[in-house]
Amino acid sequence: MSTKNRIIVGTALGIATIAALVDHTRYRVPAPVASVEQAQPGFEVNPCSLDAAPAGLDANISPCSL
Amino acid sequence: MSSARQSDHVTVMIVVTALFGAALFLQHEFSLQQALLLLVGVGLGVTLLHAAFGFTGAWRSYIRDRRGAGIRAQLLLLGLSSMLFIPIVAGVAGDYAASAALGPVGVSVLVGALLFGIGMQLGGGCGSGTLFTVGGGHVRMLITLAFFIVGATLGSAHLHWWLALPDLGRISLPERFGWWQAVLLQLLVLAGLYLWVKSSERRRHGELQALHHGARRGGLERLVFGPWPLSWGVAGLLLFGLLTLLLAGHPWTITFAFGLWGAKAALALGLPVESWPYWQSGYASTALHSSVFADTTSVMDIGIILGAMLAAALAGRFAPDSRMRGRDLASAVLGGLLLGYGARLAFGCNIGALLAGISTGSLHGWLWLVAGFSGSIIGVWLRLRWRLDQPVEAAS
Repeated sequence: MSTKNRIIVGTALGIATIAALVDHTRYRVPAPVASVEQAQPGFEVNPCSLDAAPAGLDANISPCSL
Repeated sequence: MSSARQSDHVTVMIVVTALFGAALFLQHEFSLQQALLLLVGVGLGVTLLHAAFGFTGAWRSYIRDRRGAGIRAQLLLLGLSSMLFIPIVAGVAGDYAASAALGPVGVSVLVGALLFGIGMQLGGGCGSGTLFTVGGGHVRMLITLAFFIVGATLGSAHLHWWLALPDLGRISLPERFGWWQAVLLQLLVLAGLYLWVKSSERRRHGELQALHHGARRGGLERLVFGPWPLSWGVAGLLLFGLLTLLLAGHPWTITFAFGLWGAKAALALGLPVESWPYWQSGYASTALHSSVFADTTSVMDIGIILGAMLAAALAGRFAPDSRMRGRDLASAVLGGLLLGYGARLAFGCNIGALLAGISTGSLHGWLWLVAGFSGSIIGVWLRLRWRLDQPVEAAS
């Protein structure tokens, strides 16, 4: 087995894989995701109205002002 | 176990991981059918590599020194495939929606197959052979494949011109004569060719190369690590060819994907591919404007490369040492261009037109056989003239 040949073949196939995935992303645009509000009526999705900050974040940090 | 020690474990692990990932991706993004077709491609790749089932070497071996084991195996495969596939595409073997590989019987196929025959000898591989040797890690075949893709793309740009030349249209033998009459007719012709090859080999050598030979390895170990006898290759290609027909709804084909890959690359580079008539309608247009993974031919070709890579790694034969001279490089470039251009004009390669065409009763498959073999005779002569091969007397 030749290490040089393995590198050449591996590189070529790696580039081909990346090209194929790029092509896939060009033609497979994800379908729009239905909002949680639409999917589950009555469910409150706005974090601004929550009493507590999102889990794991400091209580004074909120995405609402961003 | 000595065979296991010789295996290239790192490559085996990489390929198996890639296979699992690719199958899951296809199942998630498209369908279970697409994932299964990838695995069928893997089966074809393993079969081709372990059995070393190539058309190019087999034809050259017969043309040069009348060794006919490879050609006899191909004739056997054609006969068995005809017996299985013609009833299916004729709709008399169950309720399967499978179509035949029909192509026009005309100048385009004649010239295309002739060019392909020359190209396969210069490039060192046919449609299936190029894929499985690339999977086996042969650097020279990477060059052949790259120019195969370029040639197929050029062919797709010119095809409308070639199709304006005379042809007799698409001729289906089962439709013309009835399905069992077509099977019988094909079996008679194939049996005649088999006997001809056999007698010429016996005349030259006094004995025949066997299609099945024993080995030191046991059955299961041999199945995994190879090498396989040609008879196993015939059985494997028949099985996976049948699965392709049933799952994809069309026979096994290879080279459409090469043209598609080239056209997508050309489109990305700004070439006006969409204005070429070939890409303006039908499946070709849909494929050009869809993900490459939506095309069954592309998915199966990827499977063949991965399958051959897996088989080569298991056999400890991945990426063999090779030395490439300038003339080898030139013949790989020229051969690849002829392979791609010829395959597009001929409505397929040795698989999509010859094997799929004949085994589904299309007359263009027979025209392809005659023209492709004639091209190979020219290609073998060119190899000698350009000193890519030694004369038989010097080589023996």
